[in-house]
Amino acid sequence: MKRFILVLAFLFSNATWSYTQFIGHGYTSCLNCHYNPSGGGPLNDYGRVVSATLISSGKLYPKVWNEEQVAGSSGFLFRNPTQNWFRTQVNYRGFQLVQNPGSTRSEQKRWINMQADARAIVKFGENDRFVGVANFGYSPVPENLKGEEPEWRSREHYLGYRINPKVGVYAGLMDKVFGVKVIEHIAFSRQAPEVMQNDQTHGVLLHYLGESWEAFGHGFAGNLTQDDDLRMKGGSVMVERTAFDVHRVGASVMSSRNQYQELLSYSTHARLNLKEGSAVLAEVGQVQRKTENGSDDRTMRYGLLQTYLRPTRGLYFLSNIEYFKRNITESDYTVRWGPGVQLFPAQRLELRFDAYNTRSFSPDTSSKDSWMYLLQTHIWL
Amino acid sequence: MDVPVADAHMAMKLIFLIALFLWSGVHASEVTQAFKARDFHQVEELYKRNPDQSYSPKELVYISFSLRKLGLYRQDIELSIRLIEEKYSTFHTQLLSEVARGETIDGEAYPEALKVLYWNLMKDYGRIIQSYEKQSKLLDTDHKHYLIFSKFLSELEFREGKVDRFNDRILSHLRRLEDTVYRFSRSLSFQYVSWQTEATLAGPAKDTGLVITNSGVCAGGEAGWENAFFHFYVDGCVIAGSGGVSADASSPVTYQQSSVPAYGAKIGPGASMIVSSSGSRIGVRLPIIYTYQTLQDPKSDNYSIEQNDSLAYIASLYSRWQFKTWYFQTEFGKYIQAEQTYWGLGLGKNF
Repeated sequence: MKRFILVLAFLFSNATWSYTQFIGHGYTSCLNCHYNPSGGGPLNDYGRVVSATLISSGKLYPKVWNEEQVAGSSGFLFRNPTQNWFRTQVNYRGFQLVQNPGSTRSEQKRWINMQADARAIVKFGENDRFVGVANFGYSPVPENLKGEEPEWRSREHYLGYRINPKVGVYAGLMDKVFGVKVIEHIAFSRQAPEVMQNDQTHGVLLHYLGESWEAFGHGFAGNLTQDDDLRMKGGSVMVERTAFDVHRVGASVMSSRNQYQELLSYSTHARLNLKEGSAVLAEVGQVQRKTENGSDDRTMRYGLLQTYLRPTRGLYFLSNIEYFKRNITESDYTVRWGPGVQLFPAQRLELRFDAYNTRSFSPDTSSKDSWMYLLQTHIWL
Repeated sequence: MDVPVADAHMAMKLIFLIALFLWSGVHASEVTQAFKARDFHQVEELYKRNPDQSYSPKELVYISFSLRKLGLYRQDIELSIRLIEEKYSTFHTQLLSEVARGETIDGEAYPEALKVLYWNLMKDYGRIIQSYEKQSKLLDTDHKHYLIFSKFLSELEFREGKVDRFNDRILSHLRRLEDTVYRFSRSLSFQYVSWQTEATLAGPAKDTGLVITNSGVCAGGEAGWENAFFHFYVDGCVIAGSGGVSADASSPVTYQQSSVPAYGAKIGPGASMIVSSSGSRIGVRLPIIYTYQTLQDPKSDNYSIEQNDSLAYIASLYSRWQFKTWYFQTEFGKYIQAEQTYWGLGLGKNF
């Protein structure tokens, strides 16, 4: 069981944490708030201000503070930076994982420290034309990989250069660009194409940001800290188009392979802005997997529907609905349904509750749903 | 000396008029005194006793101010209109015709005092509008009057910024009143649903729990009342689907059936909070669900199927994303006092 929990922790932990649902606030491109144009990782100065003023509740701020003062306190350790070329950030995330809560089956509880990152950013030029990002931190390692993978690792390090406001090139260790980068790395849409929390890769990313189009081309050589036979090498392309001024629709293709397997992943997605912070994220995709000896060749299919409603500033209700078919030639499939609550009581603090109910559909067997919930705390300085 | 009766009468009249004049003077100064003492109630009392009195312009200003201070906006409106009729009738008529003809108006050509009276009238009607807690015909009439004076002030370019800001406040109040009105709403919906039930395989040695996982469609609708903030309704639908049944994976007993037809219905009250201007909402439902499904008895005489009560209560979380008249909805519920869950997602359309 301990091993299983650690595997779960591995799945849940997330190196970069992007909040794609903020399209509900009108932010169609991740580059608005992140140094990495595909989202996740350190927030830029504007992203920190948005986090403090738009995302987090204002209830705990002193009443005499106006929004400008709140924005002014959004820097590292509540200070306004005195220079423009260097930024630091610290991030912690941990959660209480509870399995089979209150059921007749045995309840399992455990606190897991899932992320503790230190980040440094150097940036120069107009509109941060040159950026260098380093992100080093802790990540729990599953029991079966203990000793093989380090608990402390570089989560990302890259250099970026905006040739002009529309075109940028980035090189280094980054997340692979594919599909909707949702916060839940347990999501089937992240597991199947292998774009989870420790799947960063060394490579070169080209980014184009036009009036109504955004495109990414990512060529990668695998994570160079891994043994050569394990490195997933290949490339991905993702294209998004703005629809009706506020929504985004897109498609992704990724091909990658190492000595043991070859993956061809393709998906289409939509991010819909339903005003005042409410949003719907949807993705459907397939992953063709070919193994070295053909023993596990199959095509997986997944669907993701994530919905957000924002009753008031700082509070989001969400539903995470997922579909997964391990092999499209078989009848078995799984649906995971997870209602949740996300609360930002003040800037730098996120509290989150997620429940997950997993139901398996099979013509041959019927089993009871599995349940679990998470109580997360996320602090960033 | 004899005084003729007619002369005596005349003298009496004169004395009376002089006394009246003197009394009026005293009364008028009382208004000023009361105003200077900030006794607005006294000012209003004096005015109420003698509304037709010939007050000086300054006193009228004092009275108007006092009435507004006391929240007696309708009395102030009467006073201001009377003043306009008495003193600025020509200008007022001229402005009315210029506005009606859509002509460009030279604000400089109109007396400042008239503009102030229009300003007071607009503010009075605005305050009255702000005092309404719900919509009414009287509110509509007051709003029409408000718009007239707001229009005059805009045309005269008088205190433009202030007029705009006040207009925004009134508009916002009217919108709030509009938003609080509950209206009947109804819709039809179609959902893909899934639910689990349990049964028991009674055997000679011991009983074995069976799990039935169903999926199907639920077609129905809802009817209720909603305003811009809340939605209260009754929702119901009929279910048709099928499911597979087997002993839980952990059990050594083998019993399995596929595609067992299932029918049912679900009905119950719901309440939602509307959280965005697009009509997206989140809420709860408390439905009763009845399902009907017959499992085959095993071929062995020693075993039989015992099906649990098919009537159950559910507490569910409901959310809806509105796209004009169409909507997408999700529902996730847990059976009360049981482990099973029910969920559904689908489309609906308002009518």
